[in-house]
Formats: sequence, structure tokens, C-alpha cells
Amino acid sequence: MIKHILLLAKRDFLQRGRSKGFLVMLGLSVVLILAIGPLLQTFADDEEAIVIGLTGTPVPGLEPAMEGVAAASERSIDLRTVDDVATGEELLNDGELAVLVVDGIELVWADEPLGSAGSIVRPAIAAVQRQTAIDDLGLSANEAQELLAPEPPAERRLEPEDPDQVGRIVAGYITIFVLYITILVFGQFVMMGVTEEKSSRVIEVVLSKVRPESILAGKILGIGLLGLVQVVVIVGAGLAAVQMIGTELDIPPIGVQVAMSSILWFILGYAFYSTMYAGLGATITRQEDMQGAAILPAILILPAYFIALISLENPDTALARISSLLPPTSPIVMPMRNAVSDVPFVENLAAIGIIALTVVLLVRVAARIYRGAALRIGAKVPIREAWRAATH
Amino acid sequence: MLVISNLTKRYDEIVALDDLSMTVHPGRILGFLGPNGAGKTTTMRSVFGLVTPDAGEITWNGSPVDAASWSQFGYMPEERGLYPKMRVSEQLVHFARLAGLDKTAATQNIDRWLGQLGLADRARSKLEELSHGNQQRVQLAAALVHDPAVAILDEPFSGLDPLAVDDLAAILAKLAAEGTAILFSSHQLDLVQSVCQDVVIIDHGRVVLEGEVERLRDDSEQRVLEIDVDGEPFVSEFGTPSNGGRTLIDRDTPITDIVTEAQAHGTITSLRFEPPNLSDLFRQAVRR
Repeated sequence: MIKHILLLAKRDFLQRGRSKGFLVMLGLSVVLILAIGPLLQTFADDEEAIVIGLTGTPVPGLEPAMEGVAAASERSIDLRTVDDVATGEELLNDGELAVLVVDGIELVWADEPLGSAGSIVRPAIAAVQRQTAIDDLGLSANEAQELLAPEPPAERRLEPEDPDQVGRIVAGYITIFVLYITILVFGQFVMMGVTEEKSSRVIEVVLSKVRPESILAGKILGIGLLGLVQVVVIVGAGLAAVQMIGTELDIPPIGVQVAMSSILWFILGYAFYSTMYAGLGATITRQEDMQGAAILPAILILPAYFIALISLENPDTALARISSLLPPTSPIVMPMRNAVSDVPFVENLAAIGIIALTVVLLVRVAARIYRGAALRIGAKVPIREAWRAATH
Repeated sequence: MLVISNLTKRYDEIVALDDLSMTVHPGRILGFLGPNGAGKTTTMRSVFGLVTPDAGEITWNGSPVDAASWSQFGYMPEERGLYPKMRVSEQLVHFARLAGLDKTAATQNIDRWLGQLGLADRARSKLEELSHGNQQRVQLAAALVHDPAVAILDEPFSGLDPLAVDDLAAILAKLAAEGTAILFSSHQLDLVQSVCQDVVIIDHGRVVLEGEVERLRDDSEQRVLEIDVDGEPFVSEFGTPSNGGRTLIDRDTPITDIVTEAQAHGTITSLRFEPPNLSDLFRQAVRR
């Protein structure tokens, strides 16, 4: 039995793994991930300087003020003195200038005021005007300081700041996305595999040598291993992309835990959903019936995806906790919670126990449906009929 | 030997198998006949546990058939099919290993079978690249690649050209000579008569005739009479025409009377008096 399962798993792993569809998908995801980093960097490098036109009576101190504000907000500006307002307006219309400052007091825009330019010019003008007022009042530097920069109120937080919080939410988001996609894609591969064996009629030859339970187990194992390969390659490509950008790679211990929890929950979630896909795949013969048969697992996994997404920043609500304990939502919600918060070990253990039991039950149901429907070639076999037709 | 005892299977109101029993002996070829829907495929599927009978038992050498015996059986289903995108040798290795052979034995057997079936040069082709006839040959190889003790073949001759029919008949004869127990179903009754030693005819899930082909023919209460007379046409009192037409008559019919009558009408150019063939027995057995 074990030998049969391994032989069947090997066939599915090699055949599906060598198929163009899988290789293209794998190649594309690697290329995409590797391309995203450098692409982001290019965008960052190409951030253009904001061109600000100045005309009319020069205001002393305005230009250094603008340089100061720009530097504080990490933007670069290009100050250009224009002969007169008319020339400035022409340059505005041509898109050469972002904004034209007249006499240090009037801002002229082409149409909509640009937020980026406005956030530099307006505070700079205000600062210059404040300085003028201070000078007019004859205040000393200390008095001015007190007036303009009151001491900020003291603040404290009840929960200590988690320096990893942002990183953990990003990790949580990636976990949700990767698990959702891989469980769906490889679950559907299982369904396709089962259906193809019916439509090519090879199923009867296989069934004359191997029990239905072993056929299901072999298919789920073989394609699941392929899914693991895909997950590992994607993670590897992600690490490579980070290296290429040159960011200091700093994997906190929590990262390893998140990776392990994701892999464990991929296995559990994939086992749950692919068993369902396998049972449903046995009820159909034709490719065109696949979409209809695949609706149930696709509907069941959607709430998991959305609950996980909305709970990213509040992972301990009742909704998140309950849905992380129970299938069909636990395979995505629990690894998300593990990524963004410290879920008690007991909760993880309970969730694993519940889904493992569910999978055992589901395997029996799927195998029975498979037995009842596998040799009925042609129209979709209603699940109830398949259930009744299998007598043991 | 493979013994099928008292199999019964109902699908709602339809009785597919009704107390059906038969035996397949090592070294012999059993032809399994019956009109469409008589229950042949259901019987063969039962041997492999693909159908669970409501009652009855199937034993192999005295023990109930189970997963261990299946690896000694070879099956060619009526619905042909293998993996279209897999190479011929690859999928034969796959099936041989599922039947329990190790890699070396599997490779040796595959070389031998592909050679015997004239497919040695197609080992690396994908199945879907082969002609229909060659795909059928690979299907046979998949059923026999592990040299099974029992070969159960559902309509193995259907769709084959006359030369391929001869090849397959020779292969089956050779397998039987080597001790394999062979059961195959067919609608080509002439073929069954020439290839099989034993025959079982079923109808509505029941056995209606069984035994050794030659003995069944000899023991028949009827004989076939053909008489061709060069002269004045006539029809004998037993209904035999003088133009070579074939009639079934009672075996005790005094044919000397017919011969005398024929000679009175002209010269006898040909005369046959022989046991009925399998087609005659089949038609009588399943007459509705």
C-alpha cells in the first residue's frame, strides 16, 4: 500500500513537474519576484527634483527655507529664477515648473495645486513670515524659541513598542497571499489529475492494481510535494531579490518561526482542500465540468482569505481566534496570527488536532465518493449517487 | 484456478449478475460470451474489486481474491486508456512496478513484450503519438507486462485488423501454453471457437451454456447440413435446400434419405454434415 502510494506520487510529481504549465508558472513567479526589487529601486532613483519658479521681488531667507523643508522631507528641489510672471506662466503651462512663486507671497499653479510642491513652498513661506514678525516685535532668540516651539507633551504607551511590528504585518500579508494561492492552485492540480485519469480511461487499469484510497493518497502526496517545491522556490527567490536590492538581510528569530508555521499550515491546508478537490474531481470526466465542481472549495477558502486579511492588525478578536481554530478557515487564519502575534502554543495544537481529524474524516468521504464515481465515465455524477454506489 | 461462485449484483431494479458461477483454469483459454448488457464487464470488474457483488465469492487457488492476488492478475478493460502524454516504456515501467516488479525485472519484461508486439522502436514515443492499433498493443502490454498468472481481457480483439487478430491469437495461445489462465470476452464467435478451449455464455446475468467448445458442439442435439446439387432444385422434407444453403437439423435425422433424394434430382457436388458452430450454440442459448 505504501509502495503503491509512493509509486503513484512519484509519477504525478514527475509528470506534472515536467509539464509546460507548471514550469511556466514557476519560471514566471521567480522572474516576477526577482524583477520587483530592482524595479522598486529604479522608481526610487528616478524621483525627479521638484522645479520651483521664483519671480518678482526676492524675499530674503525664502530660498534657504525651502531648501531646509525639502531636505527635512527627503525631497530634492530645483529653484529657478524667472524674468517675469508671463514667462513663468508659460513655463508652468509647458510643465517645466511645478509652481511659480511671485514676490514670495503668491503661488501660481498650472491647474490643480501639486501636493508635493505645496508641502515645501507653503511652510517655507510661513517660516519666513514668522521670522519677519519676530524681527518686527524685537523678540530675543529665546523668547522666539519659546513662542514657536513649546515643549511637546510627555507620552507613554501601555503596551511596549514592538520594533518588529511592521515586518510582522508584512510577513503576515505574504503568508496569507502565498498560502491562499498555493493551496488553491495545487488543490486544483489534484482535481485535474483525478479528472484526467477518468477522461483518458486509464483509471480502470490503475484501479485493477491499486485501492482507491492509495490512488487518492498518491495523487495528493505527489502534487503536494510539487507545491512545497514551488513554495520553497518562491521564498528563495524572495531572499535573492532582497539581496539584489542590497538591503541588509536581517532575519529575526520570529521569521524562522513564521516560515515553519506557514509550511506546516500549507501542508495541513493543502491536505484539507486537496482531499476535497480529489473527491469532487472523481465525479466529473470532462474538463468543462471542472469549474462547476471546483466551486465548493473555492467558496470555502474565500472567508479564510478575507478574515485573515481584516484581522492582520487585530489578530486576537473573537472572530480571528475562532476562525483560526476551525477548518475551513484555520489553514490561512492561524498562520497569519502566528506571523503577526504570539499565539499560545495550546491554540496552535488544538487547531492542528481539529484539522487533522477533519482531514481523516474527509479522506474517508472523498475515497468513498471516488469509489462510487471513478468508473462512471461521462456526465457529472451527483455526490449522493456516488456515495450510495460505493457499498463499502 | 480462478473460481467465481454464485455472484449476484443488483443495481436498483436491474439484476446485473444472478447467481453466476464459472471457473478459469491455468493453461486454458476461456471465451466469455453474451449479448450486450448480459453482465460480462460486471463479472470481470468484480474479479478486481471494481464492483462489489451483493453475494457470492471469488477465489484464486482456494483463497479469496484480495489485493495480493491482484498483483498476479492482468486486466485489459473494455474502456481502453493509458496516460496519453507518458512515454510508452515509462508507463509500462509504472504499471509493472505497481504490480510489484522491481525496476530491473520491469525493464527486462518491457523489452521482451515490446519486441514481441513489434513496438521495440516506439518505446520512447509518447502514447498519443502512436496509431490506434499500436496504442491497443501497448494496452495489452500494460495488462501482461508483469507476466500475470491470470489474464482477464475485455474484448481484446475489438477494433483490430485481421493481421493483428492473428498476432493476438498467437500471443494468447503461447501464454496459455506457458500456464496462464486466460479469460476474454468477445462478440467474434468464429474467433472464440478457434482460439478457446472453454466457453461460458451468459444472458441476463445467468450462465446459459458452459463447457469445452468441442464437447458442446459434439454433444449438441443438432447438426449442420449443407448439400449442393447440380441439377433440378429441390427442398428436402427437413427444409434443406439443394443450393448449398445451411440448415440445422436434428442429429438423428436419417441423412441417407436426403442423400438418396438429392441424387434423384442430380449430381451432389458438395456435402457437409457437422456439429453446429459456436454461433449456432450462442443463438440457441440466448434466444429470447
